[in-house]
Amino acid sequence: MSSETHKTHLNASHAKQWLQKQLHKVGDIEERELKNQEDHALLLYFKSMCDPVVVNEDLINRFYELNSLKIYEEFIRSFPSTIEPAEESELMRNMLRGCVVVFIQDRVLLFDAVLINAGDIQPASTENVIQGPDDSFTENIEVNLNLIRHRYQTANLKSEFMTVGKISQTRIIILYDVTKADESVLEELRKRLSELKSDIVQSASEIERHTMHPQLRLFPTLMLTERPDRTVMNISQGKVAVLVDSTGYAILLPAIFNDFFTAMDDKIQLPPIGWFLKGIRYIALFVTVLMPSLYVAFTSYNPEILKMQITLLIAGSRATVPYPSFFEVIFMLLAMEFLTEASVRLPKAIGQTACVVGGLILGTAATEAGLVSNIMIILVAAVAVTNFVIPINMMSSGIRVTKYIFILLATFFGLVGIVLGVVATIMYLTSLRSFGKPYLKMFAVEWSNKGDQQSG
Amino acid sequence: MVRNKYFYYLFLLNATINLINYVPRILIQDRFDGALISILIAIPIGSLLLYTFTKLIQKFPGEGLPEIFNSMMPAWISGVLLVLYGLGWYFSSVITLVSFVDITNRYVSPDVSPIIVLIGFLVVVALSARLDSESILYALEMILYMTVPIIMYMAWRVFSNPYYSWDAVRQIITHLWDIPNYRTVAAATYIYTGYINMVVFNRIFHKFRVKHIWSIVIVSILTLAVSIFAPIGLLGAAGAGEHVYPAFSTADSLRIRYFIIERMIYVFYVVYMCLSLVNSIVHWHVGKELILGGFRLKSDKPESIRKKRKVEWWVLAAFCVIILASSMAINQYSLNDMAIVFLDVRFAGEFLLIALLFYAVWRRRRRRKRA
Repeated sequence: MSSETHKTHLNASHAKQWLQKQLHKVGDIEERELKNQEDHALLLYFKSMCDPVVVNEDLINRFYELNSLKIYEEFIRSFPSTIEPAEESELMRNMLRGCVVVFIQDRVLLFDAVLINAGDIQPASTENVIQGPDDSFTENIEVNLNLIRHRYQTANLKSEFMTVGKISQTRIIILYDVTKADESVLEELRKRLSELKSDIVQSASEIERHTMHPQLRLFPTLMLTERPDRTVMNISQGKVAVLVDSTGYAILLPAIFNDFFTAMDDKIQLPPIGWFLKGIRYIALFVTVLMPSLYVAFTSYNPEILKMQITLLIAGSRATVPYPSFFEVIFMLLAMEFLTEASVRLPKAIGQTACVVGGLILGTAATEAGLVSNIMIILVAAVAVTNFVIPINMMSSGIRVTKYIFILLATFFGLVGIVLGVVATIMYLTSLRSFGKPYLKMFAVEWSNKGDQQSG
Repeated sequence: MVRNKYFYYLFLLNATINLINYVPRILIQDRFDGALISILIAIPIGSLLLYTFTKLIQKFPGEGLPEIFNSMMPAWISGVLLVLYGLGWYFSSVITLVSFVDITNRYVSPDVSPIIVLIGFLVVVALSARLDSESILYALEMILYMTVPIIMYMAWRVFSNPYYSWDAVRQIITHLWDIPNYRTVAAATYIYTGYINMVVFNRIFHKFRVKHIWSIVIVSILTLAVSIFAPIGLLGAAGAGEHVYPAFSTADSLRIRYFIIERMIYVFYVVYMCLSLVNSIVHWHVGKELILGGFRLKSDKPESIRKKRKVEWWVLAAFCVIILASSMAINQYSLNDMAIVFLDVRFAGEFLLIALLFYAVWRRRRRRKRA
């Protein structure tokens, strides 16, 4: 040990105090005091980031096996990855990376015990991207915390542990960046979580359902995600994440309408392409909601609105159909919903058969038999495809139901009903609040915020 | 708290909706009797009223008209004034809704009973008017961003139409120096009236300031020009007077060549239906708040909020019943007369409102001096 390095040593007690201040409200920090007759040492590390086997074997067991503190210190120093930090920021940086801070008398050492959960992490299954990270959350809350801490290495990321559910005692972690998150949102969240009364909480969506008001609604006001990268991006935007044990999903809040139309691809692609993709999704939203109801309005109420050729085309195609357009639309859309539902539940191998039988054979046969028009088949296909363009499943399910409301309105009022529905929907969505944040608003994304501060 | 831009949206909403509220019809009826000079007079008067009002309301940050009146006047005077203003403002939406139901029945769905259409309108308007002011402004913004580009496109199509008769416009301009009359000035100032909504929405504005008042003046001049000259150019200087809804007849004479919809009237109808609904929602909201303020119902304590919510239902139910009853009693002539009466009374009421606000500012300043 040369004398120069001695000078740059951290003062152990100062460093300890500094760390404790920095790590206030971080729930996954582990502080372990090791003592024998004359010596004592202190270990400080992120439980989620360090390998418990390594910590036990190399740090705790050794302390009791080796007689003197001097030999213990030499043992730790013998690891090539052990560092003696020169300043506090270096200490914190390495700790967040997965190092254990070892305080031995007035020395501070960093012992590398980083834990990487690579084996048991599955690729994302409901939020796929083309060229991006594929990891998804596991059903273990510690592993999930580890995934997030690896991607967001700052002591500002606070974690608060709670349990919900009287019988299930499900552990949840509230994660947020203390410099960015809104304190009022956190207060509200803690209050709502503590008011949660159900016995068993098994999934993130149950928490979503029990904490949001009003309980009966079509559009999600909290986001469920299985992607650690989305979670991290949202935390960096000042949102709050709630990890739930035994479910592979995290809750992100507050979530606004626009967030549900953002896929992680948008950030991976070049910006103009990202805007294009987003535009496509909003067009898909209008198509999937309005197409079937417009078909009803145009065929049954106002055929004169469309160009003459189109009107004749629809009328010709509908010539054999024996019932009003309303029934035709409902029949075909229901058939499509049955197919979607069936293919979700069936094993993959049979699912394809269902699609072929349902989609191809039924569709062709129905038009040939004259039960539905050809145009109707095109329309149903367009509606189904555009519905799946919306990246977040909860939102696309909500929209799937919304289109039936519009069909009903079109059946009773025609074109007037559709316009009424559009205005009412806009009114309804703007009146929703997600933890105090307006749910639907023009320019919800502040363009002045550059880069990562945009929608997520 | 919302930003200042929402004031411009409130103005824009009223400016665009004038086509439904019989403003073009009144202007065109007087086209040979001083409509143009009335418009020229209305522009400075309207802008001045708007400017004065914004200056006055800035003196009361975060306060609506009920709070201002109730703190200045004896209970019964402020109560009567607020209820009258509330009813007057609501009356504007009666004209919008009843005439729009008439339009729907005439142009779009003659086979649906007008009462059913009206009930559909009322359900949406009444439920939406109960929402908080902030949400209504967000929805207004969204709908304006969807509709105003289409309105601009339609205006462009009118004036770029090869059959547009500039001679008819020139003919009207030769009547520029006729003697103006009160009715036409009152109708033309309707464009500016959107600022009155601030009597309630001022509660949620944060540091309300109006910059770029010239942009409002320019937009209003363009709106008035479109309102009067678009029908005259396409329907003819004499022919424009023959129509009940000149704006709709003008839109009906346009054809979209390269789109799946051929007739402009349907695009126009959808756009104006959205705007009429939002306009009615805004007017009901303001009217309801004024009337509730007239009865001194406040929303500061949870208990009083619950009481207010309950009374609110009754007010909205009364609004619905009035419209349903009047839609059955009114025919087209009386609706037109009603619109004229409304526009005339409104114009006088604006002056009274500004005078009352001057008085309120003076009272408050004196009270502050004494304190």
